[in-house]
Amino acid sequence: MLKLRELKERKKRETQFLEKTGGATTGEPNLISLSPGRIRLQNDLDHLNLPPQCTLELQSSLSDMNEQPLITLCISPREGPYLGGAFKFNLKFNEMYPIEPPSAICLNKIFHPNIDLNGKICLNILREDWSPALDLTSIVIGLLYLFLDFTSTDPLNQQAAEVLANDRNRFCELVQRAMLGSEINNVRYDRVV
Amino acid sequence: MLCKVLILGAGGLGCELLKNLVMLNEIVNEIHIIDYDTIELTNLNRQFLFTTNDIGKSKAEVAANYIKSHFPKLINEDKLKIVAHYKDLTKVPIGFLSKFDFVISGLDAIEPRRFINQKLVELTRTTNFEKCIPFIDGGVEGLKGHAKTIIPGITACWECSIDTFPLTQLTVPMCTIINNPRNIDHIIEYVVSVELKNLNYDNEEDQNTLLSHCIQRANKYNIELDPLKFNTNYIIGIVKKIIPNVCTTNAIIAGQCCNELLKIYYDLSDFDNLENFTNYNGSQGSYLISFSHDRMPDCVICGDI
Repeated sequence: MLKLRELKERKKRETQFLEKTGGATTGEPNLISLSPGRIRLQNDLDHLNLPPQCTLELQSSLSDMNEQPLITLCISPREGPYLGGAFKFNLKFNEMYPIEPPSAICLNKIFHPNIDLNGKICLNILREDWSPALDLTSIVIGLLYLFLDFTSTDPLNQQAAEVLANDRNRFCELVQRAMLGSEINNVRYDRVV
Repeated sequence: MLCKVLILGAGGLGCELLKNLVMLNEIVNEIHIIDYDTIELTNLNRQFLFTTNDIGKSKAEVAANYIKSHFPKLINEDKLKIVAHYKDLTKVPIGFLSKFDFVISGLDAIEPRRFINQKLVELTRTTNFEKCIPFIDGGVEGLKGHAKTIIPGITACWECSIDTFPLTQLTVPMCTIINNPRNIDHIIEYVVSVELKNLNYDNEEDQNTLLSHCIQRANKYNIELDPLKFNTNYIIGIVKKIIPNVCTTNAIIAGQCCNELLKIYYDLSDFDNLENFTNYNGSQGSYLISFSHDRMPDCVICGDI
């Protein structure tokens, strides 16, 4: 194993040289004890590029191994029918992140064709189009996009989708009413304004 | 110099790796094998060191005992030492890893791989390359497999290639699962993720509840069920994502992993142009390719060394 030994020696000299010249990057020691999934999430948080419509908060310390990392996200759209509302989401990460996406749920009962009354969300990048190359910023932007561009095909909230497909103005009206906490077709929606 | 090798996993790949390394006793004089699993009937088609009498026993211990009883000369003349560890490898201290010259793995899950990769990179970092243990990671899935040679801090680590991971589950949109199920997989996915969360898939009662819910939902959406195929075993296979593994792929991948070990040992590897990843696909014809996977400069695990 001569070659490997030589390689190790070379690397050792290189890093020693870098340390002497002050060029070596020292690892952040507080991250060493974290699992790879949590280190990756910390990295996502460090490089987060949050749109101004969104705020988020990490609910427990990443070093608390008893708690699954939970991020609460609040989106306040600045345009479109959902303007004026503030929508809360929970993003739960497991140790398989980023191989598996976090599970996302909308905490408010809202009138939206792609979000059902239990908060389940139909967003491609949270399921079938997830890739480990995506990150927390992609998820936030994906969720924000749900309030700007929604679709009546393959809906999770049938009623909302039907109205949207037939009459967009009526849809926008109902969205505004739902956001005030009104009842639509016997469903009481949450007040989110 | 003779080497000490740690084998992670004593399953299908583990049995093959152990056999290969025992035969390489001219260069390997100590083998540790670690696995927290016990032997099941369904393992016996490929995990050839076990018999029906071993069901319920520790895989690592039975595998080690098999070698000890079949190669008494090697053991008695101290040419080879075999040590079994019946424990969770994500609980081993880093000091335990540091005494090996190679770590070679035949694991079936991602989490322990990421754990070991992280610990070996950490070891290289904290010892400043004094300890830099090659980690050869084998993996099989049906008729496909891979072997990755990871030299911490020198070649791409396990985490460097994480972006290339295909999605193995959640491949169907939620709206299809809820509103438009078209096949039995969609039905099962709905039942376990919406109707019946927190089932114990090993409990017979829960299995039957699951089966009846699936049948109900399949009828509701007019999805035909093959009565010969559709039973609790079939559903459990899907929810637990059981992929049948075969002895042939195990032999090919374990052989490739041990080849990599040999090449490093005998200085046949060109570390500057190391084709560190090998993919094998035997499902159509036979496709085998080795290539260089670069390190990721911003890898969260090894980017800083």
